[in-house]
Formats: sequence, structure tokens, C-alpha cells
Amino acid sequence: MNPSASLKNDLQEMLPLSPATFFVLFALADGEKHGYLIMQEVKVLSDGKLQMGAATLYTTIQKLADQSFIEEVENDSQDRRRNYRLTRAGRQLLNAEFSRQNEVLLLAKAKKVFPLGGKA
Amino acid sequence: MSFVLELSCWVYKRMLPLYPDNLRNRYGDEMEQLFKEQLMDASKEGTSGIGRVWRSAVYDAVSLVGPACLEPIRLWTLATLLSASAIFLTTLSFCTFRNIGVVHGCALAQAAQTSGPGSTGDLVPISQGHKMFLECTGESHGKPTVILATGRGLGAHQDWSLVQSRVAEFARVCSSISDVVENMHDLFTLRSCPVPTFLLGPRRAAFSFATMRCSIPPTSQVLSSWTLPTKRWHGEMQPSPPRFPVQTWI
Repeated sequence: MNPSASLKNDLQEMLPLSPATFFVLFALADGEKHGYLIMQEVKVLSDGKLQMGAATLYTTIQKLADQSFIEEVENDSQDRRRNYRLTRAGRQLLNAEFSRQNEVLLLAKAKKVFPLGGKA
Repeated sequence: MSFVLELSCWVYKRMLPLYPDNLRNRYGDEMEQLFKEQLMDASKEGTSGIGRVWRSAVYDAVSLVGPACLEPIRLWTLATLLSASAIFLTTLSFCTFRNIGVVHGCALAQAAQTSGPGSTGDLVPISQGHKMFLECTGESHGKPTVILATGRGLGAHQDWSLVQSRVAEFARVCSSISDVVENMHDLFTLRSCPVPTFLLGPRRAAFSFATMRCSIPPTSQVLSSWTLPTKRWHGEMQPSPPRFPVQTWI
């Protein structure tokens, strides 16, 4: 099996992502951010439905960093905050989750159980 | 920064040790910084904003730390229930227990505490992966060997350690914390105790001794019907021989 296919299989096994993991990755999709910015971005992206505390946020960051889906960015300032960004694997994982969600949505549309413009 | 914010930050810093070490060591500073930023933003909304941040922080702590704290409590409750059931069933004679790990550990700890400087107590591997505790005092090649059968239900280790110290004055003494015959046989065979050998223990050990006698050298003798040492003995260790050598020759 070639490496990219193997990686794809590994990523598929991690799906579906938990809301915290998904939104942290999603928040970092448009560039590097520090913890507080990630928290604010998650709040916006989830329309205020997911509000993480500092411990939940950093537990998620720790897990993702240990799995090499995100990485710390060197920070020259004296600030205690560290910036984080998606790695290539992290971006692939996020894309895989988007694809999965899209497939589910397409399936729902195909079965006409979720009409466009309707309410969930 | 207002007093309320400073106090909040101080309290939050004291809350950090609740979190797992690896999280706190790696991200503790950032968590503190993030909480401070949250508070400063929320303080623009007044007390309700600060209250919201605190609610979130407490919920966060409970949801993250709660399950980890509940696990030991759950295990403790389970162990208590199990122990209570075991005591209840044993009391009603529905079942009996062999030397289980915990009891063995206690006996071992006692042995370590009560052993004199001249004693050698250690765990001897016997058959089926079991281990037995054997403590010997007196000359290593001294004759005869006197084996004290202590163990489950046959007197406390402290009582027998008094007997052992006295008998060691004129003989080599070995004591075992179990009366399981086959195990004892393995134990003393492995350790090659010098003959002649005397087995010494209370009347309740007589059957075990009778069984054991079949597998020990013919130069050995078995003594039983030993009266267990009483509390009085702890304070009245007389230099004269013990007053209860009512032996029955099997």
C-alpha cells in the first residue's frame, strides 16, 4: 500500500472528529493563532454553541500537537502565549472531516430527508 | 486591573493543580494568561460577564477533573463492598479463603518490622509460581531445625516471633506464614533445613503435620497441641522455658 493511501486510511479511522477537535482545527484553517484567538474563533464558527474553557481547549491542543496535526510556532516575543498552526496532516484530517460531513449531507439530500431550505 | 480580576486570577492559579500534571506543566502559563484575557474582555460586560467566565471555568474543571476523581472513589467503594461480602460469607462459613495477597503482604510487613538483627526472612519461590515467606534465626547450620507452623488462624506473627526468639537460643528455627502442607514441604525441601527437624505448632495444625510427616526425613519429629501464646506473654518473657509445652507425639 502506498504511503498516501495508508495515511488516508489512518485519517478515515479518526473520523468523525469530536466537536472540540473539529472546531480547533477549523479555527486554525485560515492561519496560525494563539489560544485565546482560537477560543474566540471557535465561538464564532459554532455560532456560540460550543464554548470551551481553557482546560478543554488546551487538552485538545495537547492531543492534536501530540498527534502532529498542529504545531507550535516559534515566538520571539516575551509573551507567554504560543501560536499554533495546522500541519499538513492536520489539514488533511480537516478536509477528510469536511468530506465526510458533505457525504452525509448529500446522502440526506438524496434520500430527501433534509430538503434544501428546510429546517433541521 | 481591579481587585476582583486580581482575586479571580489568584483563585484560578490555585485551581491549576487540579489538572493533570502534563497539561499543567506544558500549558499552565498559557491557561492562566487565557483566563486573564477572558476576564478582562468579560469585565466590560460587568459582573455578569465575570460570572459567565467563572461558570465556564468551573464547568471545565468539573468535566475534566471529575471523572478522574470519581475513579478512585468508585474503586474504593467496590473494594469495600467486596471486602464486606468476603467477611460476611466467611463469618457465616459459606466459604474460606487461602492466604490472599493482602493478608500475605500484611504478614510480610509485620515480619519485616519484628525481625531481629540476626534473622533472615525472605520470599522463597515454590511450585506453581507461588512464594512463601520463610524466616530463620539461629546458627545457619545449627541442629536441630525447629519449624514453627504459624500462619492463617494459627496465631499472630507477633506471638510466634516471641516463641521463635526463645527457641533460637538452642536450635535453628524456621517459621512460615502458611500452613499449606504441600507448600511447606516444597519450602523446606528447597531450603534444605538441617536434620533432625521438629515441627512445632498448635493442635489445629496436627492434621497438616501428620500429612507432612510422611514426606519429611525419618529423623524428624512432630510436636503439636501447642497452646498459643497469650497477651500476657508479651510483657512477661521469662528467661525460663515457656510454660505450655504440652506436646502430643503423633
